[in-house]
Amino acid sequence: MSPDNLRANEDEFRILVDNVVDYAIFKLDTSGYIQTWNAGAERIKGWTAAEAIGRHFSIFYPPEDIAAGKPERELEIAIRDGRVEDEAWRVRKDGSRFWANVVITALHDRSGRLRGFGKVTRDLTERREGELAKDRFIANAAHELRTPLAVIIGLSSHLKNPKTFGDPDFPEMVEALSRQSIRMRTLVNNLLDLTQLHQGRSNISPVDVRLDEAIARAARMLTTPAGRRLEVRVEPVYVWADPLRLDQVITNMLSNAYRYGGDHITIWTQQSGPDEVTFDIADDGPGVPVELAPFLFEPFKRGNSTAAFEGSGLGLALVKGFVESLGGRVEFIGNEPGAHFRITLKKGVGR
Amino acid sequence: MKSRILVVDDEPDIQFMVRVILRSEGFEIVGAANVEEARRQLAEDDPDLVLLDLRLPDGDGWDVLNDLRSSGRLERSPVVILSAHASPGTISRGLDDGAAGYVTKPFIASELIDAVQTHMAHG
Repeated sequence: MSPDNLRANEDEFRILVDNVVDYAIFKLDTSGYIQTWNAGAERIKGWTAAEAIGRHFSIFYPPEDIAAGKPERELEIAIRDGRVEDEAWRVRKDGSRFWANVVITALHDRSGRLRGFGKVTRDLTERREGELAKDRFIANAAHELRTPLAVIIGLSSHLKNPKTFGDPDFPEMVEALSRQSIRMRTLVNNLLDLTQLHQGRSNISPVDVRLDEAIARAARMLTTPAGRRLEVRVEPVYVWADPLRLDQVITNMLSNAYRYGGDHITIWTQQSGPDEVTFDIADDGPGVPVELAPFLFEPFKRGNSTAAFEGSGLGLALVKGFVESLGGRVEFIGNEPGAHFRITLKKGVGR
Repeated sequence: MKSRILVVDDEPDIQFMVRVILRSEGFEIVGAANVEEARRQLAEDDPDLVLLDLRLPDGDGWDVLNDLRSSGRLERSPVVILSAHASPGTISRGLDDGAAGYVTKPFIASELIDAVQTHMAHG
């Protein structure tokens, strides 16, 4: 390659690097002072090229790492091994921290003399936060499974004792076993549904469904607890929904109202636009605790239940997932003073 | 006279399970579903053992344990923590705070019976 071609090649390559925005790519001199800067470095770290060039690269490290001599140590390892990789906190210009993947490569000339270092940094904060959220979700799910499991393990081990056969509570022991096994099944099914929704494969096949009939079905399925009154004001109306998922949505909303709401629960439907139908559910209870309201639709956030048995803690998260996968939305309208929720669905094409 | 055990747990089926298991061993059981009920029971008299869940709807079990310790009642009414929190840190905190024993949920019947018989106040 002629020197001219080589020069043109180098220029092109530099332009390429300069314009990469997902990675901070820059060079350090042999003592760690910044020599070049690219668009990604400015975006991730917040310093402009004019501000960054000439500074020592330790400005990207948290104070405790600087005190521990980490920047110098990384350069030493890069010299010894050719490269060093690290995943840890780094600091932006404004002092905020980001979770970074950093690779530092030692650069040598043809005679093997150290000329400086190449440094590539990726901002992995979002990925790390996602991983932490997933860890929390798993911990919560395990905790929820532990209560029914505790009853199943404790009671079944006790039932092996022949003394229990004559115990007047024997039928109730079997009943509790059955109840907690079913609770566990619900929880496991809900966890699978939610995971599939997150992955975007939710097995949803929307068709024209009569919303009023689905509501009547859910109301029949869930026995109204003693002393409570359910008022249903619906007209024949079609929505575009998966029948199974729609049943789950309505059942979840209604059982939440029974669990947390007041004595009088009202459900009504309304055509809210040319292509939309709303389903409202409200009660005259104490309403949603203010501190809970912002997280209502997140998994495992819940209030103090008045019911004897806890739900899975996933009901509203699933409702939101199902409704959104059908192109609709769910809203917490507010406390009036009882809780009022609204689900908006696409109108069906039938009639 | 039968030994009396106070069971503090907000899950009705856990209460029930502990009650049937310990009753079959000849113990008398009283229940409390939250901190307030536990305090009310403890104000009335001294059980021979307290089985204490840590996560309760109106506070946590640590408060009940601290009440008993600061009023010098742990010898008369020893506490065995009954919790799903199974980390070594939580267990050693429980024992440091004066609990006589720690049973992690889930447990089988014999584990509960063993813990109760080991730590029951003899008086």
